[in-house]
Amino acid sequence: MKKTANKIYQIAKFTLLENLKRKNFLILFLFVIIISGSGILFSMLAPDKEVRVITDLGTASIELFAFLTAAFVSVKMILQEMENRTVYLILSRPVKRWTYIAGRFLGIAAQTAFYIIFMTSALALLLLIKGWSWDFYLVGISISIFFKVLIVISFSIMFSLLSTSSASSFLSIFFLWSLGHFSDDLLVLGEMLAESGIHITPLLRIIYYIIPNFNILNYKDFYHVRAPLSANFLFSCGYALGYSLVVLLISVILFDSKEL
Amino acid sequence: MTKKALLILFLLFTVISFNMTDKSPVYPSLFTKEFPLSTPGIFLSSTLGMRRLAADIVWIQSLQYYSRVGRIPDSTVVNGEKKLFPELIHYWQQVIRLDPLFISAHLTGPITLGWNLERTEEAIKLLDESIETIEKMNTLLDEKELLESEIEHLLMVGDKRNLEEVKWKLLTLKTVLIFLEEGEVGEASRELESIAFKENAPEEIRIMLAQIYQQEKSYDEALKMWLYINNTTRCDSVKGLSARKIQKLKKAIFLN
Amino acid sequence: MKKQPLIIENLSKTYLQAHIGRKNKTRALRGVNLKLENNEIFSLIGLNGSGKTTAIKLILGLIHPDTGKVKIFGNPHFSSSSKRKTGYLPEMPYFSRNFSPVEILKFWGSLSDIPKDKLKKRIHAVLNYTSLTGAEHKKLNSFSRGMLQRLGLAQALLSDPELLILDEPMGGLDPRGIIEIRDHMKKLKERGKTIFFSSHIISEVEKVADRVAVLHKGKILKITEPHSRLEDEFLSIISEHEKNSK
Repeated sequence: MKKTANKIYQIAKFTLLENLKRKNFLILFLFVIIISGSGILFSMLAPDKEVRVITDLGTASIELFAFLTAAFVSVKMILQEMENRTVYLILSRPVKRWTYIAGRFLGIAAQTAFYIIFMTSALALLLLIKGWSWDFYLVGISISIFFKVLIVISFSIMFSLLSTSSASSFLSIFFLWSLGHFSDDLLVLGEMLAESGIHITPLLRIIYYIIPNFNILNYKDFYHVRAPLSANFLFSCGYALGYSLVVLLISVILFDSKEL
Repeated sequence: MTKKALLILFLLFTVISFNMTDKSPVYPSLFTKEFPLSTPGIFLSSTLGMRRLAADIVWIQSLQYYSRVGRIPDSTVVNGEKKLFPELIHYWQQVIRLDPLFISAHLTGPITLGWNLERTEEAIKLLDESIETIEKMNTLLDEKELLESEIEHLLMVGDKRNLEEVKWKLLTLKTVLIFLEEGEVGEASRELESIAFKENAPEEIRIMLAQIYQQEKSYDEALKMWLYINNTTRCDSVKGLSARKIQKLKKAIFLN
Repeated sequence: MKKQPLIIENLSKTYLQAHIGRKNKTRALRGVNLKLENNEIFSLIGLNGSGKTTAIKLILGLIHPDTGKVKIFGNPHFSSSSKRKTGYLPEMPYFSRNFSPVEILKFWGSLSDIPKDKLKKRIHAVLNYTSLTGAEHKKLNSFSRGMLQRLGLAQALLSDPELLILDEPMGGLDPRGIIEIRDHMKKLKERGKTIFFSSHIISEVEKVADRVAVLHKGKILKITEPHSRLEDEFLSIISEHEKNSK
């Protein structure tokens, strides 16, 4: 048990180091440029609503950057390792297949957490300069973004095991991301179609329950309504964690039978 | 066997967590009404979960659209009359539909339309939609059975606000515009006074009140209002405007 | 008595490829039987596409056989105890270019159940053995093809395995590199290791292997001892088989 945990840790650590050495983190500087630029721009365009607009743009950017880096890294890493046979070197050792998947998942999750913390700190600093007084909701937003991206990481790993093309895997992830945010509107559309005589509500309801519901984790859009770390918030994060683990376990089952 | 057992366990955990969360949407769906939303607005809000950001973008677009500095204002001819900024109402409608809790937008739009552009009909149409939206949001949030701490937390980036109070302000603004339309300026200014000095009332309300005082030749009241605006504003153009007004009013008071 | 390092019994593998409604079957291995003796260098030779890499992947548990068994020192090939006793060098190994040999070997060592206190010593030992001392802290993006192959051998030797499986170890190397690998294989045999390697460079196999198996279209056609006319024998075995199968 201890040996397995150590191997998962080593793979996770190596994943994190690999990405740091590839200098993927340079994208964070792009984030800093964007929000600094927005700070200057909005002080001219919307001087009385600077804090609101910078918060909205900043949190949306954090989410987008975290999503893109996690999806790219997850998809590219798994596919590349299968192509260049690095995965053979790992699995020819006394390393179980599920350990490899778990280690990679945790490594990418750790990288994502690091990026989110950095970006949130940069955003908080800019907001404080603009006259904002510290509120814990910013941490709540970051935590909800992290849990959303956990689902993305697990799906990225799964899609990269099902497909040999990184482009198709990434497009699938993006489609899932959009659909997950669209889930509430799916039911509304179903009702509207039913009024026109097209009855696909049961099908849409099934889709609603199967696809990940990113709306309940979209705290950046309703932080001014719900308090951070309330029971509801914790259940939403629990849902995201559970969902990621389910998808990860499916990935493990797929990987077990995958011919390398 | 272990993997299957774990899968069932995680699935159960996920389903239970999902059932315990409040899945009802915070905002009404964008697909319940017909309206000319720009493509980026729909895309950002529906597919990427960025309704607040979409509202901010459209709001800034509306300010840019309305801004006359160095540009020929957009206009159209309706029934032989020139109508400036014909699309402005649509911009403001988009903003409040994207983010129904963007309180400033609910208040600022009608003032711009009703007072600055003297299009009372459009302003009242916008106000009616705002009031309906705020009532809907109030009901939605009531249904969510928010905790007391959450009700207190009903914020707009740090401001404490209560939707009942917002609704009352909108009704007051509607009353003011109707009074102005009927020439009852005194009544209008009294109604405005009841909301202009409230914490975080939009500047537009105070500017409107200052201009009404000036129109009615209540220069002392107008001067007090412009001084208050000058001290509280963060907008350079408003600061400049209020400084010029203060100068003019001081002269006018001195001459009188 | 030491158990046999590698026993392959009736190993078969068919690949199914589905493409736009059509399914193609490729019989990569057909009833392969092999037994390696301790401390021998055994080579599997064949043309490209004969099934050499498939055989190696099956031995290592990277793919699943349709039928047959593989045992490494008496244990199933996919068990952890088998993997601890096996070192593997893939064809043209790839390593993350931004790491140094020490960093890479630390990572591989941590996955090989090598105790922490012994890992540092093992890393230095294998780097020394493969003449990479001096370059142990340099980034891999400055390494030549030959140096990378040596690093590949180093990682295969890290856990001091009793059985080494090398897939085309001389592939892509210059003459000096080939000689180095050949010398390493002989030295490792002297140290008591058993080596199983695949190759299509018959002239090199002659110089180093104790026994050779000819693999063609997934079937072992002959197991023989290498000699100076191995290349001619290899080609005649294959052409005879092709004639008979028509």
